[in-house]
Amino acid sequence: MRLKKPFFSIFPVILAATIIAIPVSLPLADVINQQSAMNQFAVGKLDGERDAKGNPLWFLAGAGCGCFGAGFAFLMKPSPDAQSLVGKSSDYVLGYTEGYKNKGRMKNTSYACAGWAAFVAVYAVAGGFN
Amino acid sequence: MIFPSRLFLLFLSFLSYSISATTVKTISADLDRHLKKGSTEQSISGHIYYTDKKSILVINKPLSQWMIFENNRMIIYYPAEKNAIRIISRDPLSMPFFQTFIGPATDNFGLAAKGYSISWNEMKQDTLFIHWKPPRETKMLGEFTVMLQKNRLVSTEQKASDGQVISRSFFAAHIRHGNSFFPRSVTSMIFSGKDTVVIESITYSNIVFDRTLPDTILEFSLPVRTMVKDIEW
Repeated sequence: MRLKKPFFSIFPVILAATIIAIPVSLPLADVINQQSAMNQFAVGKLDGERDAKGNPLWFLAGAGCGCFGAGFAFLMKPSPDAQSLVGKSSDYVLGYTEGYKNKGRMKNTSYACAGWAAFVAVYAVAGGFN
Repeated sequence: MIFPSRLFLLFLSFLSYSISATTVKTISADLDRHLKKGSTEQSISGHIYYTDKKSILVINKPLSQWMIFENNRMIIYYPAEKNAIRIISRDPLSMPFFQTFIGPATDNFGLAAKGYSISWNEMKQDTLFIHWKPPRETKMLGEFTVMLQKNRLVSTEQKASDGQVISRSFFAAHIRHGNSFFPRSVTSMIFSGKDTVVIESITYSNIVFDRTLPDTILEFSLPVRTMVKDIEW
């Protein structure tokens, strides 16, 4: 069976794209392993960000301590739960930890800033700036 | 807005049990755990080694992983990959989900030591219901109810401060050691409103109490050529 003309025109393009996509210096197995590790890290990071809920109590810290409360919330790194790491690869664990800490820290800082803003608003309404 | 998973984890952090020294010195057991969270499911199996100073969770499936807990330090070691993650936390770390196994062996299930106080109790047929009030600082947690039959812990229920049930656990197939009954089967559910968001089933088998644990466990240290990454929590 003779292949049709479009195949002959498309095949070199596909072959060239495949060759360009694969680094010549690395074996294919290493490339696949790298991709898998990056995927595991990314999945872990997404899960960590999803599970990081922050702590609303930082609202009180912001209301009570102002910018210091917000600053402290930013510096304090939330601790993920070890249960989420059981049976997971090392790349997943690293991604999960990073995602959880970064997202949790931002949420805690947001709570603290909201508390700080609420305090300022109440203070202003009460005539504290007069 | 209440986050049931976080409340349950907060509750577990208050119940980081330590077994009474007069009850059990070491525990060794096989473990099978199945977790369904939303649309995802995960099954793991392995072995637990517990002492009052150190705990080690050795996972065989789905991958080879060791989790070593000692005070505020946790090491996650991957023998096949020869790498490890060493975590130092601000707070003490405890072995995941194993607390539901050793909890029944502690005085008052460790609740009194964590600031809980008995609110009231009642007897319904052969089941004793003990209702505990959480410490004042845990504003998000409500009443915690313990259900006992013939001195065996059979069920617990945790409510949020608004009275909504956020989690239930069921304990079965108890094994006796001294005056304590340890559940070989633990099923836990976390709720969000009317939905069950997390279901966890754990089965313990080949349970051995007070056995001298091997030195590879008691004196565990990372092999020399292990790549270690340090993380602070």
